[in-house]
Amino acid sequence: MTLRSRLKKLADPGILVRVTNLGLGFILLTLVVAVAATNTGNNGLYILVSLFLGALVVSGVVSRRNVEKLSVELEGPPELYAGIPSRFTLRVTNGGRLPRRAVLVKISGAAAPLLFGRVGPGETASRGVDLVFPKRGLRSLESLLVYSGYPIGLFRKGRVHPLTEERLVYPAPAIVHSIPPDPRQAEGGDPRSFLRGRGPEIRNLRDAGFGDDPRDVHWPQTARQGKFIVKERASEEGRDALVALDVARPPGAPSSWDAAFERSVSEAAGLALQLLARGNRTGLLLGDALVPPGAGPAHRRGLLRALALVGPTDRPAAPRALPASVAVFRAGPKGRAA
Amino acid sequence: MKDAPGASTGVLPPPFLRERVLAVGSLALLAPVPLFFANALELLVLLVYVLALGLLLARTRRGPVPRLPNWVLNLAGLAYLPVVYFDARYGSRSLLKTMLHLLLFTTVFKLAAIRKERDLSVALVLSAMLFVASVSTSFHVAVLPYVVLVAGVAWTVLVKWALWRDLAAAPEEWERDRAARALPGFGPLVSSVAAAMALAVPLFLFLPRLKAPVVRGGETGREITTGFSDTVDPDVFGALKNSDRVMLRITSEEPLDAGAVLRLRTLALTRFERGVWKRPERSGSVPPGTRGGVVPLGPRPGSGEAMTIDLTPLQSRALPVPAGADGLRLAETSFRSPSRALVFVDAARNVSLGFEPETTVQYTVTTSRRPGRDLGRSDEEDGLAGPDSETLRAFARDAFAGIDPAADPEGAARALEGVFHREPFRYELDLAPRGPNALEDFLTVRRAGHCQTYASAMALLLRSAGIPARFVTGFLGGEIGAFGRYVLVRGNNVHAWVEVWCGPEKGWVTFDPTPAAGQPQLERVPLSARLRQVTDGIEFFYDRFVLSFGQSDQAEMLRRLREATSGAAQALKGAGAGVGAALARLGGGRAWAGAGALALLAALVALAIRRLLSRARFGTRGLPPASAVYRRLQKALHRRGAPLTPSSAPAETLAAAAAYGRAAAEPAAAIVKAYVRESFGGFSASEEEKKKLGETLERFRSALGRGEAVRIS
Repeated sequence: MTLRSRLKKLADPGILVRVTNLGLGFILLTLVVAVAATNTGNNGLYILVSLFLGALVVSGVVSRRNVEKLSVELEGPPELYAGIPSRFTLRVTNGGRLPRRAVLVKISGAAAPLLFGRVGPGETASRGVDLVFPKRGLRSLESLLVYSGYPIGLFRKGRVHPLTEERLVYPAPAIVHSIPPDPRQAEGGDPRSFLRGRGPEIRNLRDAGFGDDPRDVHWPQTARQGKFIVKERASEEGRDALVALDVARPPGAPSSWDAAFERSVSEAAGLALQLLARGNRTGLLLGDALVPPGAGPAHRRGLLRALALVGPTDRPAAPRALPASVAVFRAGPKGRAA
Repeated sequence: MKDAPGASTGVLPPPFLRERVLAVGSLALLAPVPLFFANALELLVLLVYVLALGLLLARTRRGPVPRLPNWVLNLAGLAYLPVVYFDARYGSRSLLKTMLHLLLFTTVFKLAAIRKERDLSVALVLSAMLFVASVSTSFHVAVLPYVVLVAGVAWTVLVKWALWRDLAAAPEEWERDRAARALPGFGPLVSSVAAAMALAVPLFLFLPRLKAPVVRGGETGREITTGFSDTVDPDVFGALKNSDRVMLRITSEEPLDAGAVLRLRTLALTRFERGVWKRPERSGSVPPGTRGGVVPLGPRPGSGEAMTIDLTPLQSRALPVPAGADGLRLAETSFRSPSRALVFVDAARNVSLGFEPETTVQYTVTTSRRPGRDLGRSDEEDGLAGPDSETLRAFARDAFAGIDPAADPEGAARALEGVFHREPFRYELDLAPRGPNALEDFLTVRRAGHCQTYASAMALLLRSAGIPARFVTGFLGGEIGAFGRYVLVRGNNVHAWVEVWCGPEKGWVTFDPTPAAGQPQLERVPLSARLRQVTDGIEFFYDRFVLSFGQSDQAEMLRRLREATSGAAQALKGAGAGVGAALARLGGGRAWAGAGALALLAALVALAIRRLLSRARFGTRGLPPASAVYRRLQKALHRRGAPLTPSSAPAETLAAAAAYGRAAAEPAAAIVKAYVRESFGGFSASEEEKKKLGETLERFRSALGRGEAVRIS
């Protein structure tokens, strides 16, 4: 390390230093003993002053070293829902040559810090932590504060690791108990009783017959059973569902309207997820914005994303003509109607 | 973590209450211990405090943290007010002790009534105050290990304390993390405390001193009541004689051998009035050269062998000086002001300072091999005053056995000395005073006494026969130091003897009438006593260089530092000039050629340093057997020029070995195989395999010596 880099490191503005109450008390005690030593000439007091000053220096150096070369990262789950605890993994890596002790990491917004008692040189210590995002939308954690009062708590030194990444928090899906039954379940509720068609959903597996499309061969089962097995696909007819959310804020709406709106967004999310789980190709109608019906994990995330970002508007939505085959489920602050 | 129940009072207890009460309690328990040894605290008080605190901590450890109700605290506070008054007025009668009692009382009650976070901080501050009081009132070297002990305990407590404070919002983290609970750990604790101590040493030396250092006060059983004061009652012996405290530390240029006589004359008392010896009336004069120079005491001041004497305070102005001393020089460091460094020499050649030193004084005395005689005899010393007693005269006549004291004073004195050295006279260190007829009683009835009794009796007997004699006190003998050329002179080396006027040619001659049993010797102590000698030496060193360390020591230290710096600068300058001249010669007198040669030299040095630093290290310390042999194999190849480092892969090592032919490659392959098996397969080599590996390495080395590397381009 060059002299310049050493000097730069010494003057590193990134390290936050705070003298604790204990530290202030210790400095005050040292001053009092120093004054007493100077006034009395008592070498016992001089021994104490020297020792206290030595301890101050050691404490300052060790506390600084203890928070240097520490990198920290926070890894979260792919889906976050507002108000629901999500498991994050916090990793602290010690890039220094000496162990780091009593390292505390505080995630902005969290009440309590997380303790890493000892992180050996070159080691990475990880901890799981449940974080709750109270509101949906694009949320950032702002920062991670890595700090330590080690060794003797005279100083608290740390470094803020800003988190630039924004996380999309989906609305917490409310459980909707009274969804109108799927018209396709008229055949007795067995999903396999869906009409045959060319939809992506597999309705049944059966032995291949003459005229079957070779693209429908289910190769794993064919290999397992030693004969050609084909997939029988379900029809997509009657599967499309649309959750329509009323986002228009009536003029002069009371402040309670916003809370009701958030509840309706949660309901819409719950409804959409339940419809998807039921096998419906589900879409969203958010005021004027339409998310066409679809299925699959990517579409599911798309729906949740749209619901996470939706906000109330001041003008009512223009009427839109929808195909008759699409089942529309309405959600809004006024109530839900199918 | 179990905290004290606070729900009953509605006040939430501070987090980690039990742990913190125990931690601060352990400090509070340790903090006042030295106060007892420094006589600042009575044993009973300390025991009561320890008992009360011990009970509190034991109860805290077992069950809920005790918390005295407010009314008990108020009542105790009110009840203690009159105690403070009576303690100060009739009890300890010392403000320090009263304040310490109050501090102890407050500490116990504060710990027994922790309610808030602030109470814990106050308890910590109280413990710190007790610790400060302990160290500031202790003057024994044992306070240093105590400070180290407390530093270790306090560091441990504070490390945990800091964490407890930080985890106030997440106490479960403490329970979860075992590594945190094990903090600070032995290694970090020792290194941190050692680093703080190491930093404290230069700080102690350079922190500004504005006042003279406070030194040891009178301690029980250590009083120096007589012996070196202006008047000495021969019937009363100072407690010093029974003390083993080191009074002088003498460092000699020449080795002092066991059996030699080391007699340090401190005070010659010439006047005997009303049963008491007194020093000459006139206090003496200041000889020339006393201010920082050599004070002449004999004919050849400053020549001869030098003895450096460190003298602890004797409660006297007198300076002990070896018999036959020629010159004396005071160390500047012993005096805050040069004006105080005055030496007075009186008619009886007593050497004294103008004041009673309160700190250790250092001075150097020179003695020649053939010391000059003391031929000075003032009118006052002619005084033959003594008790007018027929018993004395009769005893003297018998003792002289026909010798005419007027014609042969030395012979008469020798005869008298011989009488005292024989039966029935014997040595007895009985310190009880004997009353007005002590001398007659000693000569005719008791015939036993200590050195003062003998010296006083002999001086008075000689005086009764018309021979001038004086009573001398000082030190005789000592312990030869376990290490180095020094002698420790203890309190029990204090002695008294006689100086007799033996005519104008011989002057004053020393006689020692005390029987041999009462004459301390210069001796080497047995091995068993060496340890004690070492500890005494440490204590003396502590007294001199820690307790008595003051402004003058700092000035002297800085002067030496400056001298050393300027000396080093001169040496560098000289060396530089020498190198410059040599280079100029090399360059045929041309400066640029010399500069070029210097630059070349510097470049070569830099290159050598760089090469040295970048050299791969092939240490085998701590490696398992096969890995160690493999590392040696790499080292051998590296020395032969192979570009290997300890981190080179086995294949690279094998390739490097193969360059030296098959004879080298085969044993190298066996070693590499064993290494791979051990490092990556987890197999450890057996004893037999270890031996085989050693042999294989030797085979490889011999093959390496024979082979010639094949360079692969």
